[in-house]
Amino acid sequence: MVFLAFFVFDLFQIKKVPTNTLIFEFLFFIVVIVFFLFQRMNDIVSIPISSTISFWIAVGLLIYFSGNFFNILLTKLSLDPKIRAQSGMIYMIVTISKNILLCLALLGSEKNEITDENIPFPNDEGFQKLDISNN
Amino acid sequence: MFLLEADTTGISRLMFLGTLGMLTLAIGIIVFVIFHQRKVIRYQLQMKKLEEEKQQILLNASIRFQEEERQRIAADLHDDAGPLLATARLYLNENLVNQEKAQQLQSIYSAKQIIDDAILLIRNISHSLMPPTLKNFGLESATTDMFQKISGSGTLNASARFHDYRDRLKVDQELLIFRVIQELINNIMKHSNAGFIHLTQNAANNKIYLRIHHDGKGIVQAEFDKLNHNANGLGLKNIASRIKVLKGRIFFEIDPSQTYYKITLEIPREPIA
Repeated sequence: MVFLAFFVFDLFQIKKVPTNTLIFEFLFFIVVIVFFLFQRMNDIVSIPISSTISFWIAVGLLIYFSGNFFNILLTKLSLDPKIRAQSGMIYMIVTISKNILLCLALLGSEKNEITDENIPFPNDEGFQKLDISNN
Repeated sequence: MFLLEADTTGISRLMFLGTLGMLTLAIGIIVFVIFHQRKVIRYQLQMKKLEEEKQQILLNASIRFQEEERQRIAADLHDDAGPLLATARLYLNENLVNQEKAQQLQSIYSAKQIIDDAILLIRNISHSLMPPTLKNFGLESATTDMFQKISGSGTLNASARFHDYRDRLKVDQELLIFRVIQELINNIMKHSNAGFIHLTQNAANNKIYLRIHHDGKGIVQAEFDKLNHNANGLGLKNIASRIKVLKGRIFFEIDPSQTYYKITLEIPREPIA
């Protein structure tokens, strides 16, 4: 609903203050990612958080959203080619960094956190065959 | 409005510094998350190590206690039962040599008396391993019996009262609780110089509570924890390991009036199946 409201606002105000939805969206994602990171930090206690795939995906996205935040905020204020070039450069650097991090995250293998479900218990089929009554 | 009026250089600088600031902030958060989480892991590992060390101490204490118990039983059998049976054998051997009827009767009578003594001794050893009152009549009777015996010796005033013990616990559980009480009473008698010991039992929320009061020199929880972590003090470690097996808790405290000490046992109830 909030996104829709911003979208409608953007439609009417597009010439004056552009990209309101984007700014809100970027802020929203930054907050969500930071919240996610803090939550993971508290949840995972047996392995380093940096060895999980989700952490590096979150890092990549956080760098992307925070790096492009001011770019989105200021880029349309000026039509000067110098600003455009600088904006493009920042966008490129940040996007490449994000993509590298995402690739590394997806290429890396995650160490499984030990939980009750993935402790390798031996197969106990042998026990079922035992018949106590026969002794 | 300020942004709209700003010149190209200003916007460029603001964009550069803003982006740099945001990235620094993001990297700062990431670094904080990584290092804080590592700190938490290190703390968890330390806690785990401490817990393992504690378990090891309890296990060692339990093994040492078993060994001491075996040595005591071996000593009792070797020093008391052994000579008694050897003497009885001597009397019976004499019968083979001496053919006089009166002397034969005399030696048989002596051998019988010695064998009776040996039987009594072995019974006492057996009772010290598993009190028959506990097995047959339960914790309440065994504890009351023990307190009556202590009181009967005249050295100190001991009494036990069970308020809510209608359903017996499992035999294993009762034995463990009884051993804990025995060890506590033994400690009180040995170290506290108490004039009275009083035990009360109660039950609530599917748990059994046993409280021992005494007016001697006792210990409080902090001292118990300290002694329990210490390499010495086998008795207290045995108490702790038995309480752990029972999944219960033990509290050592002094009464606010500072006149007597209280030891409270909290044991989850596991009734007989």
